[in-house]
Amino acid sequence: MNFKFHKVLIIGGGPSSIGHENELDAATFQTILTFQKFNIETVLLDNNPFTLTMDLLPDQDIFINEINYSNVLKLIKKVHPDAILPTLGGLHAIRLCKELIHQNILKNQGIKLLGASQLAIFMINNPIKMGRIIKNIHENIVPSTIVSSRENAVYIARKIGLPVIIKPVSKHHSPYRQNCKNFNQLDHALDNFFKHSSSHQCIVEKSIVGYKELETIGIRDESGTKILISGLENIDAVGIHSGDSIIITPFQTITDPEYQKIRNATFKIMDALRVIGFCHVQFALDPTTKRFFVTKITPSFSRSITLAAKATNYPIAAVCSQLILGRTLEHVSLPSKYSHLIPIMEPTLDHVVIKMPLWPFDNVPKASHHLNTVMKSVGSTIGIGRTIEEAMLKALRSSQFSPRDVLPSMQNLSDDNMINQLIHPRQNRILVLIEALRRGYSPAELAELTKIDQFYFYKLRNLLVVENEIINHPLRSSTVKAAHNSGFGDGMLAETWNVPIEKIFDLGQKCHSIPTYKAIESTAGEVLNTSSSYYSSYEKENESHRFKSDSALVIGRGGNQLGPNTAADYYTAQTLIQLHHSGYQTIIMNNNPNSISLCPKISNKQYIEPIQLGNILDIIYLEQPKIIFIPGNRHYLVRELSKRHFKIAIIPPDQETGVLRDSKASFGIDFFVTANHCHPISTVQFNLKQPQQLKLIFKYMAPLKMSSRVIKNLTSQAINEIKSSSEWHGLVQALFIHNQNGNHLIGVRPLKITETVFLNRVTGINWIHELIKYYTHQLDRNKLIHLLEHQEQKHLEMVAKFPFRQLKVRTKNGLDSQIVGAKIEPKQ
Amino acid sequence: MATRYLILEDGTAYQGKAFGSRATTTGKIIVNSNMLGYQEIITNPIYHDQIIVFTQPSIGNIGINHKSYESISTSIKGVVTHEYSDISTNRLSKLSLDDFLKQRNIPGISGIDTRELAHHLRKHGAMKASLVDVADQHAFDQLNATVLTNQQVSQVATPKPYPNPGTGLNIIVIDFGLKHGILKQLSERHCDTIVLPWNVDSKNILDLDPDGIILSTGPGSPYDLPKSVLKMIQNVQKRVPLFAMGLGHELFALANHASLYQLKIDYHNSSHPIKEIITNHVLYASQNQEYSVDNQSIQNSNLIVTYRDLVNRTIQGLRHRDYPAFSVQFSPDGGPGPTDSVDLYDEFLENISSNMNKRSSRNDEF
Repeated sequence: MNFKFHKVLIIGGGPSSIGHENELDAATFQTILTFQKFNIETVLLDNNPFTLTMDLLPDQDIFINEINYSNVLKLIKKVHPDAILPTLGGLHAIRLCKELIHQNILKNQGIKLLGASQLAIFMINNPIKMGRIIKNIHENIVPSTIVSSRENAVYIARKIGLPVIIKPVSKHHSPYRQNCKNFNQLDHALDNFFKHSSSHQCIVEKSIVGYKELETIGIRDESGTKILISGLENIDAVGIHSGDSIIITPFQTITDPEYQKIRNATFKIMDALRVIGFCHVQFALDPTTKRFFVTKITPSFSRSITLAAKATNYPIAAVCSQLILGRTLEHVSLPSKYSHLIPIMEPTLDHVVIKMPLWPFDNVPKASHHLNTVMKSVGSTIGIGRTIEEAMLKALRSSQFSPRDVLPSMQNLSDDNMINQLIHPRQNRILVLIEALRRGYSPAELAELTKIDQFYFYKLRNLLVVENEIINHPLRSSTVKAAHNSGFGDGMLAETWNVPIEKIFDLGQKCHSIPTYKAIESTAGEVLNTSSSYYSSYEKENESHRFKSDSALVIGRGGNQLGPNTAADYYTAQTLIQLHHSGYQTIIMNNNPNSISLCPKISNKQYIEPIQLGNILDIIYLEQPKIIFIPGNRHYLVRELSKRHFKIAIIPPDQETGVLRDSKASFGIDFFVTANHCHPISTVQFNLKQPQQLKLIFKYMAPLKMSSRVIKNLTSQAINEIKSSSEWHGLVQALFIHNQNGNHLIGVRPLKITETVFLNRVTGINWIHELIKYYTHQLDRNKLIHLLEHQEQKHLEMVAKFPFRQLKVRTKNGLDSQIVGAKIEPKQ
Repeated sequence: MATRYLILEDGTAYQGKAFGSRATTTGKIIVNSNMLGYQEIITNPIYHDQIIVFTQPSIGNIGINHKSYESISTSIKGVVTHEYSDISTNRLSKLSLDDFLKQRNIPGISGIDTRELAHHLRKHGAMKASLVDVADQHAFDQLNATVLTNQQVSQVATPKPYPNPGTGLNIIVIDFGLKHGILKQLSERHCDTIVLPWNVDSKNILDLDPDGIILSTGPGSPYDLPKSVLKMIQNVQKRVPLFAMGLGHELFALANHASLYQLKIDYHNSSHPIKEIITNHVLYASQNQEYSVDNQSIQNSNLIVTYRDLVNRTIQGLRHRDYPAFSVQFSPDGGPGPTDSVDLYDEFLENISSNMNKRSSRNDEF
């Protein structure tokens, strides 16, 4: 194929934050792989250390720097790309691209814009432009008017009728908005928002709170062929941000003609914007008049697109990267993993996927716990099943991180409190809804209170029926069967009946209630062998079969939470990559739709399942892996698996195993420790002026600026301490405190996940790979020494990012457990 | 819920739970993979005497609503699903899918691994099946002894003509098992429609002076209909613009000396890309297909291939070389399924207008 461009600049997504985890990395990773296949050079600007993409490109093509206009401009002048791809870096990248167009940079430098048209870029965050486009194609938008005076606002509000939504007009996307049910509230909102607006203008908009919220993900090629990948139905009505909504796919509660209208509207929008690649459109459906409105169009990669890709296992990023290059859907050629998939077939599912958001309120208790139009969730888990009940419970069980697989009880919630939480939803609202059903509320009443379609209450009520059976008819095979069919876990049953989990397994065997694994694929069984991803269901046919050669099972971290999680996901992905190099068939078990470790490219087989003992044992039983990798923070699972004499490796290790004599430190030295040797790698500085509380360290600089004699001395001190215990192996950090009396060793701990990734970046050596080689007895010490001797250390700084601004919390110092992401930059 | 069985001609039995009526029935089993539109599917006369397997995980989610009937009388032999929901959203009376099937004496069975069943049928080909209370030898003997009717069209098509008045063009629809979607499209275009029975002869049609003729979709094999139908088509296509769909398309092909072959397994879904050959435009449509026009046979006919399925390469559309007559294998009006090709109705009406102009200019000459 001949291309009109040879060097593409990709603007990265930057540090993860609320609304953005590893999904941009996963998409960029796939895209660059495609570009490499077609010999197109890629240049990347990014400062997120926790990305696989950075490992994919040669050093000279990665520019680690703050993602801002002047850096983009500098980079363009330096490397002269002939094309730019802004759709993989979130809205920020789109905004930068808009500025480049404004300043005529793209035109003057002859740079082709890929992925999104100029029209689409100018439409984003510009409701007036978007309105014009939607009206041109004869679809509806929510009536809204810009006002610059109070009188005018009241006049408009009277005209379109209360309630109305007030938003300030601002150049950048503003999360502020208020639903006004009466004129008093309107007055108050206007007071507030005229101040927030640089132009002293507000938008008065018809309130669509309570409408059904629907999303579509479509793709389109240069020739205008379009397919709808997925329809996402928000179980929560408009009023709760889609990122905080429980989402189900495929659509469940609309009629086929409604679906076709939404599909057609999506296609018309993609045509109007001349999208090449993916597009995400959001709709609000008035449940009484059945009229629907287009509420948002996003022609750049997002968590909704990732969810669609995970739900269908349609390789959106891999396909779209070829569409960007000018291929048509008919002629896209996929990687061998998908060889049987026909990319131009429109996906059709025979399973249900439910996404459950995760909120950071346990880690940031000061944040408002109310769910509204401002997104607060930091991650999500998905449950996949053959029924809505099964998918719902699996998603819920995955989202709770309960070691023994039990859901929190809502029994002690007072009636008043319950009603309050029904109307003003909080994080555990699905459990509150189940509790309300338990207390006798009817689906119709709850539908009225919550604006959630009554269908879902019927489904939740089915779960209650099974729950009663579990309580009233314990230890029966028939009960186990009913429980399995509704998605209850073996752990949950074992806990309720106070028996070992093996007992549940035996009861299940007796009535042939045995987990079967179904392919997650997009043809409802029509085309065979298109997928390496599976979910469990208790059915007749099992489609997942044990590998003929040795396999390794890697247990993922589950949904993203605050703390080291995006780094941990990178860690898991690198673990899989190295295990594959080491000759294992790799199996990943995870349930975070945004994780890069679940990307089918990275492992041989993927299981999207709750990370619970019962589900893990089921997979072990089927796959008989040679070795199991499990994160150290899952104490209960580690204990239970060890008890059963499986061969396990605990990585990343648990931080709590560190032996420290002080709670403060100034700097550290990182080591790679094997049975007989202790190899120093690099030094890292936290704060030299003043020792830093370990829990509050948010800034890392490497390497340390200290005389080599001093470092040598400290290193040998550390080696002595490390060697004094047989506990230490793998990646280990010795910590020192620096004060007026000099430098003092305060102890040793496993190297933190985030710091491991940072160490990779500083040394240019992939330490996770070395670690896996060590665990699989494939470490070549001479090679390691060679690597260490020839490393060229970069001077880098890593700074942790906290979500406080997004959560509207005022806090000066963020804890380890509150980190949402990090950025790195070069330091001299 | 009572235990019931789905048994297949090849000896396979599936245990599930009963819903709908408890009747024991036998029919050809087919798989429909659409994700929405269970009511449209259940009421479409093309499924006459068939047992429908739904691969969508849950049906009945939105009850039964007055806008989703493709015919008011329903004649399928059974519904097979993993799960159904007993929900009613009607304004005037409570009518769930379960109630509806009971009223129509149609049995349903739930709790079936429909994905496995779909794989099974794809592997072993089309076959007969029964819904029964006991899966014993007697039941299998009964199933094997049952001869399915090949008179589907005469059983579902209207025996008497009826009008569907409008103010526009005079369209005659030949009913081979008409679905309401076709009439709905004509109504939207203000057509003055008359529906005629499938066995009407060409004289009776032409006596009504139609502007255009539609051959409807319908159940069964085109080879089971008498040759007189082909004769009728041959006569009318010379005189009046014609548009045929589904079974109508298959008959149109036969009338023009093409031949058909039976697919190994029926295809009922809307996920295949269909390419319009002249424009390279790709569209998606509801496909319900048991037969396909043979590629080879087109060469000796007066037909041109207009649409092709990009997955199995089957012919999806034909046009006559000499007459304003064309046909498609799929349903352009959805119900359920995409409406990407709904403008074929407009194309048909445009054909009529340009034909009228030609006719009137010819008349001027005389």
